[in-house]
Amino acid sequence: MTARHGMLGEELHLLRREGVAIWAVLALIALVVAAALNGRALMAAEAQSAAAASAEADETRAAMAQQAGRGVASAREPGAAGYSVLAAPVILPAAALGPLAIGQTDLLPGRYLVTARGVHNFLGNGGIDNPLRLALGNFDVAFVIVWLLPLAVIALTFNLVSGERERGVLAIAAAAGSDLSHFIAGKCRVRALVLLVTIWAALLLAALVGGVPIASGAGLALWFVWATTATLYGAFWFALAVWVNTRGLASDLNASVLTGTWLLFVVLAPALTNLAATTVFAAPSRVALTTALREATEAADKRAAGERDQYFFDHPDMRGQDMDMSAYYRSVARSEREISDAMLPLLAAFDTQAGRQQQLVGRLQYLSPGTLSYQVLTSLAGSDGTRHRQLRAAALDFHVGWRDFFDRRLLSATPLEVGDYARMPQFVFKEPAVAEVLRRNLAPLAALLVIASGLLAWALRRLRRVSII
Amino acid sequence: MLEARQLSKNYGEVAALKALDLSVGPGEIYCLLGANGAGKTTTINLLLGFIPPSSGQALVGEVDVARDAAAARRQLAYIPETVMLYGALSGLENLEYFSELSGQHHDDQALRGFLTRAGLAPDAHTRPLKGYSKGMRQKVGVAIALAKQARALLLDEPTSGLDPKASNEFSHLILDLARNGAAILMATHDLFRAKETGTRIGIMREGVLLAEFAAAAVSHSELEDAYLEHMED
Repeated sequence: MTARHGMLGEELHLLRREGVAIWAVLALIALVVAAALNGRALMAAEAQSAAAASAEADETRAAMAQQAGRGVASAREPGAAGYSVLAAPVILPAAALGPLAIGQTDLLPGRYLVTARGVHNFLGNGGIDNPLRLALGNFDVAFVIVWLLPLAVIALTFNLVSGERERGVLAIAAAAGSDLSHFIAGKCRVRALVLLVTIWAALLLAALVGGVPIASGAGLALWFVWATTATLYGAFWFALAVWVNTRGLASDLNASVLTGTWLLFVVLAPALTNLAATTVFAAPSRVALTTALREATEAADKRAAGERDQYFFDHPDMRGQDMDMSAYYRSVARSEREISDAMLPLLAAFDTQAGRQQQLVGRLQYLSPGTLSYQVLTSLAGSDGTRHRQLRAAALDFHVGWRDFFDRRLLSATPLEVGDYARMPQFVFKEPAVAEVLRRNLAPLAALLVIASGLLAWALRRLRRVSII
Repeated sequence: MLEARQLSKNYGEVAALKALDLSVGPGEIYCLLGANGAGKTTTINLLLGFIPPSSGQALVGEVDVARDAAAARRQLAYIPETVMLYGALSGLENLEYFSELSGQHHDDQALRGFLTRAGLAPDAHTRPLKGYSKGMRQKVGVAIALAKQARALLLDEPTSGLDPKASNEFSHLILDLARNGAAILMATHDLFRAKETGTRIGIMREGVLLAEFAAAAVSHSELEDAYLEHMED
């Protein structure tokens, strides 16, 4: 037998021998690493797809520029280039912590193909993921932390005091002269230490295998706060388990209470929060949107047909031939504007409701540490929807510049030159500053800290009155 | 060494122990007999300071348990009816764990010595406790008391469920402890063991100590008759 120094060594030895801790720790680390690998694979697939779209757009533009240099009419016609051929990819770059939390990445578009046509043409073509995976959800590190970490904590702590009482150890320990609150606090410290080391080691491994840029200052800062959030969330469950143990219940009842709380906070609360948000601020009908689009398109087509009739009436020599290309695209541009003008209020209604839903979720998240932690973890990872909404807003801004580039030349009948292709607007996503991301998460993080530390302080205070028999 | 002075314990309207006066001196083994609910375990729990008395005093070596339970417990060792301890640890590791807990630091050789003195065969020292019989686990409990060098020992039905051989071995162990000056209070249902092991025997019923004998002054049959007489309504 090797000598172990003090109660810390004895407790660690006991945990190792009992086995549950080792299995819980290994399972947690394995799940976190597997989730990080999965997150990395999903991010890589997304990046590959975005790169392909970008490359295709670049190739088309280069080919058009060459044709314009050779004097090909369609390549020099701004209407044809802007309204029929070219599309500018507007792509959300991968976030530093993207592999750790997929969040709403697969629900909200991460790229748009912007053309000179109306916004309704590109807002709905964002490359949403396949429905099966959407239904199943993503297996990422945030999922492991929010859903599975509490179970590991519960497995390690549900019988922290009750098990000792049932084994008669509390009585023997008390009779041995041990201060029971110190004895139990010692057990708490060892388990807390094991969990702390496990969480940080697992998340460091996740960062390494997931490709999180922790070598950069910004990446390291975000990862550090991410790991701190996971730790505070784990601390909440640990504190809850200690508190439940001070109630003097049997181990099986402790386990029931803790898993019931897990079900409430981790499974039901997020679902009810989502249900409340989508019920209170229901999005406008998709059918109404489609009908409005159809009506606006029909009205624009009717107006364009009238213009065409007028054109041939004014130019009888052109009858039986195609319409002048510039005139045709001016008509298309006007139609697109009319359809967009008709559609924008409806699209804005969707945005308004989505914003209200987000606000309500922001308030309701404080009801559940699970929801609160998930919101912070996805927000830090840039997958809570904020960056996607910023991308959408940036895409709408970019669209104005892109459309104007072609419309100016179309309306002044100025053909495109080779150099114009190089001067076309380029989209660059302005990444929110790390300080801004951290500031946004300060309140929920503070709430998590207060909840976890308050509960732990309460539980430790109750430990002084724990019943021996 | 162990003393109860007008010691009472009430749970609401129910009196679990009524004005108990009892003392156990060094080298003495006091056996408390009585049916379930007689107040034997309550007496032990009061002397251990696990529950507060409603009135009266529980004293361990002149220390009032209610005032300073920690000081009282420093002089005590306790063996419950079932010594579960940590099944994943060996007898040796359990002994080391509980010795550390009571602030005693013994080397490997000394720990093995306590286990051997408690009657545990050397080949069992390093086997996990979950494979031990009840008698072997009780011996680890005794080894914990030995390692602590406790001046008083409280035993709550320690031979319950033991086979006659293990029970006999246990009796010899506590006799050995008493010979070394320990004061021992043992709650038991086993009249034979009480007569064989005890120096004094008390019979309790419904929280009251009804009778007390010197073990040597009564025969087995006299003890049985007295016990049955006191158990009748």
